[in-house]
Amino acid sequence: MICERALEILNSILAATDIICSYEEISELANFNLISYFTSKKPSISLKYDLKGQKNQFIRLNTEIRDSYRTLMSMEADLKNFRLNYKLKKEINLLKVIIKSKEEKAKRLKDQILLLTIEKETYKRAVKVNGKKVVLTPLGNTLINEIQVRRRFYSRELSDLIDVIRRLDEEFGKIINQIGTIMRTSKFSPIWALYLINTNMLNLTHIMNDITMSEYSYNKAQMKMMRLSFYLMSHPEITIPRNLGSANMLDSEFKNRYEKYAPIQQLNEMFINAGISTFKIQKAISLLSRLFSVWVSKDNQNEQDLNEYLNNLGIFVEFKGDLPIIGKNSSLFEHLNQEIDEEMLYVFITLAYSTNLDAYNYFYNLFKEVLEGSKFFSSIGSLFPWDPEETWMILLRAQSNILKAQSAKFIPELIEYALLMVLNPNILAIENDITQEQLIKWKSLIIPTIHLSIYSYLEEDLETYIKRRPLAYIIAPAYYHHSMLHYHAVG
Amino acid sequence: MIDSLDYSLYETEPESRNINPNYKSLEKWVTAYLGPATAEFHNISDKKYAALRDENRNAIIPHLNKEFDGKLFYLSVKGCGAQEDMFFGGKLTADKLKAACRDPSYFHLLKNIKSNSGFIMGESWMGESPYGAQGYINGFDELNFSSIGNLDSINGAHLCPAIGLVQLPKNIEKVAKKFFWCRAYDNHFYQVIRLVPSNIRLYFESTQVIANPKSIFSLFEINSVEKAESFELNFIKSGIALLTLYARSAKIEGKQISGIIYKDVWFDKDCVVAPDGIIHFADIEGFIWKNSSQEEYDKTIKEEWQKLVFEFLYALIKIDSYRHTLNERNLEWKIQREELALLIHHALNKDIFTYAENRNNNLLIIIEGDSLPSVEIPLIEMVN
Repeated sequence: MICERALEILNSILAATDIICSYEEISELANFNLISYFTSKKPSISLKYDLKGQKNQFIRLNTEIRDSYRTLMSMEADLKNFRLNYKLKKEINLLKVIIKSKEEKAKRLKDQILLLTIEKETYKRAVKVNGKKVVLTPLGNTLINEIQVRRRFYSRELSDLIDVIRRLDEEFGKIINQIGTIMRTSKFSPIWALYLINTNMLNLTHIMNDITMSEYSYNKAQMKMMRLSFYLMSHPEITIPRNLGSANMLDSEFKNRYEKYAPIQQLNEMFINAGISTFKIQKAISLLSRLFSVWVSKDNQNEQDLNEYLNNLGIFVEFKGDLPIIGKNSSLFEHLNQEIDEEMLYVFITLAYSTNLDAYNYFYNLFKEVLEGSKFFSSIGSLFPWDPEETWMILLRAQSNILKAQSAKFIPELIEYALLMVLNPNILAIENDITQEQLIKWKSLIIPTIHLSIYSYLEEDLETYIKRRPLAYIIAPAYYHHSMLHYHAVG
Repeated sequence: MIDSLDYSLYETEPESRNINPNYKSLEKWVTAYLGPATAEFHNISDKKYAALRDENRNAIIPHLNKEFDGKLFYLSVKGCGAQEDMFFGGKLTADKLKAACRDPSYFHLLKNIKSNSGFIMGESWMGESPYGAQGYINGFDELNFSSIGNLDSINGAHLCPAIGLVQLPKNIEKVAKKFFWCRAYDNHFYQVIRLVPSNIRLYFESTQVIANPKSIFSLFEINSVEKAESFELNFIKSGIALLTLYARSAKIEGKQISGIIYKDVWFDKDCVVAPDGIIHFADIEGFIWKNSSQEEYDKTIKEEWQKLVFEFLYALIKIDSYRHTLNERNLEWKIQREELALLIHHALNKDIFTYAENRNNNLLIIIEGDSLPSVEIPLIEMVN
């Protein structure tokens, strides 16, 4: 069955509208646990009676508990005056046992009532298909949204989509486990673990950790780590440095080989001419230029990509409020016309890779309640090579996996962490057939750019956020002892 | 954990101290604690504590903690110096402090300050307290209201108890009185030393929403339906206890009933939630005594209930929904509310002051008290 037909049937069941369909179609939906057969007979009058009776029994039981508890309070007050009254002590203990037993009974009864209520309601909602009554399962309910947002899948087999979703869950689970494993022995912030996973450079874990520990300033360590990752990504033939000395030598050697890419001067001038200060993002610009330099040196064709990127960047930097592709009522238009702050500079750097500026507005609408980084998050959301609705559905899936693993503590962190997970090239390959060329560009340019932007801007910003509201320091301090970028609670 | 704390407090000898008799065992904690800017101005650098900032003028010292009835409480200092510029916004800076300084002879001492945050000033905050510290009346109110409770509760209504009140040293007060923008507070300067079970506020209907249950449940490591239900039961019981504070604190004096009501304090920003779900009222300076006649008693109880009940229900429904999500049940609201009504019965079955009753298909909360008239308030109507 193709996805479009599955959507039609599932929507009918959701709306409790009978629908004609084949035995095979229904069997397929049932096999995927999207619907279940409702085999119970029509709820008897006795069920309704039972429900009422059990509710009354539950309320009675609670009244008994309350009365017993009041008696207990009064007996305990008496005991304070007659401490040696063993008979009273015995009675108190007995009453406590009775109360506990009634409490357990009440809890069982409440659960039973809920099950009966659900059974009664389910019967009402069951839809007749081929003479059988079926109901939508929670999975079926979720799948309606999953199909709706993926128009690309409408003509594909339902089994394909279900397989994609299963593989997405598996991949998210794998990433979360990998982060947990890395962070058990590493001192850097867990977003670095995600970076190493996303760029397939897990063999750098050890040396990255050594660099983190060796530098007094974590910022300086991160610059070194970032540069090392650029060089080694481009030169897989080089042996991974085993100690700091070798890492430093490699850094010096490649620093000379890859000068900052020349157009970076143009880039700085572009900002200056537009009257925008880049003072706060100088370190990021410096790293970006190094990244571009490595990228251009790999292939002559890459220079064209970079020119395209710089042209796009120019559009935002020199924005005069007259670009037809940016609607005047959109959030992006509004943000481009406001004073350009540090966050917007990172938005520019990210959006210059985007091919779907409307997606920015879609995500801003979803993220605007997020206190820190809403614009920046929206720009990352606009990068994915499919509809923004689809990205949002995958992000929700990533968030759900994070929460299941109890790996995030804060809402901004949850979004940030989910976005970074969705950037993983394996996720991209599962969700959509993208070319090897696109994947290489994604891994070599987009992932490093987002990573350096996040730790340069967002981590510092989130640190301020957490300082104002450091919820977890008190309750779950164990998560925070690893690094100065303590708010990342992963693994 | 010390490395990750974001703030420091410096202990100094107070001018005087008042101890909550219920917390004599914690007497040694009742002293003055100064934020970094005030401490640096006065060259006080020994006895330093790693701390967490909490709102504009408070900080928590996690190392100073004590378990009561199985629940961990942390020392919180209310009034250890302000973070924000009261009139011009933003963090206090050296220039902003200088602009607020009314005595040029202090200008050179401002150079001692390196951090600028946590500065005690003399500006009068609503006529009740000096900016960044605590005022005389509010301070003693907090101490007195805390003293009538049994540890952290007034007959089941939980609060963050003040364990002591300290008057700041004269020299600190003298300097602080010279730092104001418009009007100076003219009484002595105090700090409230209190206990808090967490620093998580409810924050509903605010731009600073931390109330997403996903986040809170994750934070408290509530990952099973059983834990979620226990959290919710405590949330209900303690929420209804706070909604009925007037009855719980009521004293009959002749023909009058005297009890505590809330003045300009709210569930969303003035409460904290402990990891077990119990809501604790934190800003008890907003408690005041109110007298009612026997006839007016019913009206006062209902007014107090209505003031805060929306915020309580809003939070409760969020928490309840998330419990069902954890149980992988996607319930329609009409079923969910039926079960919630049962849960409320269950939550109140050991409360001395309130209980739930189903009458004419409505779930009522009956509020009682020794020699007090019984008051009935519907909580969920049209529930089977």
